[in-house]
Amino acid sequence: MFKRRELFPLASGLAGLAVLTESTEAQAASRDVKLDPYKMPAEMREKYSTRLATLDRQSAADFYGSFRLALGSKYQNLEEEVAETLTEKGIKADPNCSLMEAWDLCLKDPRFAMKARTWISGQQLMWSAIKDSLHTQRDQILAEMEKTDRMGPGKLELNPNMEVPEYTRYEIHIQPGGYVGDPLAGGISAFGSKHFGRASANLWNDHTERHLTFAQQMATPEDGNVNRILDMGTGFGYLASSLKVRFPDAEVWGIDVGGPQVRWAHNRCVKLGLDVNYAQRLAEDTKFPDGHFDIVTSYILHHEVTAAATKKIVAEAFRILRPGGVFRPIDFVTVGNPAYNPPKSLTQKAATWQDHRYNNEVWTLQWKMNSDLPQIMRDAGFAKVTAKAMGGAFGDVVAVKA
Amino acid sequence: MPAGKTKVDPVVDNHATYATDYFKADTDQQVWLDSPHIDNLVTVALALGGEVWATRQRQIIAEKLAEKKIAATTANIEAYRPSPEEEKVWEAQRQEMALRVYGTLTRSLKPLKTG
Repeated sequence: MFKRRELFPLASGLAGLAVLTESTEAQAASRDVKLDPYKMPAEMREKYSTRLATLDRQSAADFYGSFRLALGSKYQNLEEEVAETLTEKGIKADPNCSLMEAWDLCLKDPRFAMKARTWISGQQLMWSAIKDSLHTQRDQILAEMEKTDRMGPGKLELNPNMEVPEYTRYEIHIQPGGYVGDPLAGGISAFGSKHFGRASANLWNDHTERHLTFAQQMATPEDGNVNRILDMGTGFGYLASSLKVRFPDAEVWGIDVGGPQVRWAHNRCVKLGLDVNYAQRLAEDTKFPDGHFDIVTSYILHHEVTAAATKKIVAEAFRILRPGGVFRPIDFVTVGNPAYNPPKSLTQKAATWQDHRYNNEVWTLQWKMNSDLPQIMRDAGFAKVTAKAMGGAFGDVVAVKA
Repeated sequence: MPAGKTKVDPVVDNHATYATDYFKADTDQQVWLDSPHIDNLVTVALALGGEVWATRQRQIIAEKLAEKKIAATTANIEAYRPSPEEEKVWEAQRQEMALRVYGTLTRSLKPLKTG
């Protein structure tokens, strides 16, 4: 059993957390480290902060994010103006029109079209700034990863001959090369995620803070035993590493289809001194034994895979969890969750289509609108499933294996 | 949907890439503003904003260094790390600049409705 304790401020909130070994608790106890990610001590913040190699490219990427935040809220009355434009053009919009039809209708309004254009242009420019910066250092980064591939404390498993499913080979979010097609895809994803996750003013590490928060909020088995944790579709590995910070005694794994992703994740954890294991494996075929894990989780994995893959992944999570184990995939709200709120207005539908079709969220509609996650979990065998809103557009869905 | 996969070299710069062939998105082929030239110019205008801010950012840091009697060399500017408070100020400055320069793009084209 772990014993909760307040350890903040946790100046050495990283590798090993040696200060905690002075605990009077039995050494077999699983420690549960509490911290406030948004009030990181300076030392921890310094270690966790990331910035592109050149200030110029980082500054440009920051600007495109700020542009989106600043202008996004300035399109008041857009729904009414689109309706007015359509009326002026003698077009009667069917309120039950499809997402694609809504997009075509909304584009007839010049203000909507400009909003769509600038959003996508900002996204394209952000990716260019990040990719250009990383690729100017490509030789150096790849050479460094070659060294750290063989270093610990955690293990790295690469499977270059693995059959990579077709559905994973798209440029999701129009990320250049997608998750699997660029040798620096892990870094590109990591810096891009900072751009998406502008919840904090601490722009140089805010996505780290988000993952640390998700780890702090992670549901645990009722018996309190947390010895093994798996993060499926770990990408650049922030959730897995954040779970290691919370549960320093647990064996933590992150798996992902992308070799460049897990290499980046491993390289980062080597530098942070965090004992996290990363492997290039599929979430629907993890290769782990039955009943192996206490917690299985993921962060925004499911809306990037097909509905068919989601069913296989949920079944795999059930198989590898031990009785009493907890499955908590963090992702957007789906049908079947009381918090689900489908796009209704014309501009909401059009924006959903834009995200799917032009931000290249290829599988997101299969997830949000056609995958009843709580029911899929029950069908897989999970005995207890709870579903509610998590904040933002995410659903908080937790399943326990009986 | 793209027709074919973009090929990826298994080795670049004498390093294994561990990367895989992928389907390239066609978003850069889209035209939403009547003419591809207008779409392109919006992207160019936004890119210029990023470049202007990048220059301004260096200037801000150079001034900070000068206040501390530290030489504003390239190395010192690149190595500068802001405090959380400075990051908040920079974010506000970027958003102010974005609104000042690009706010026109959001203007309503409908006549004002007076009550």
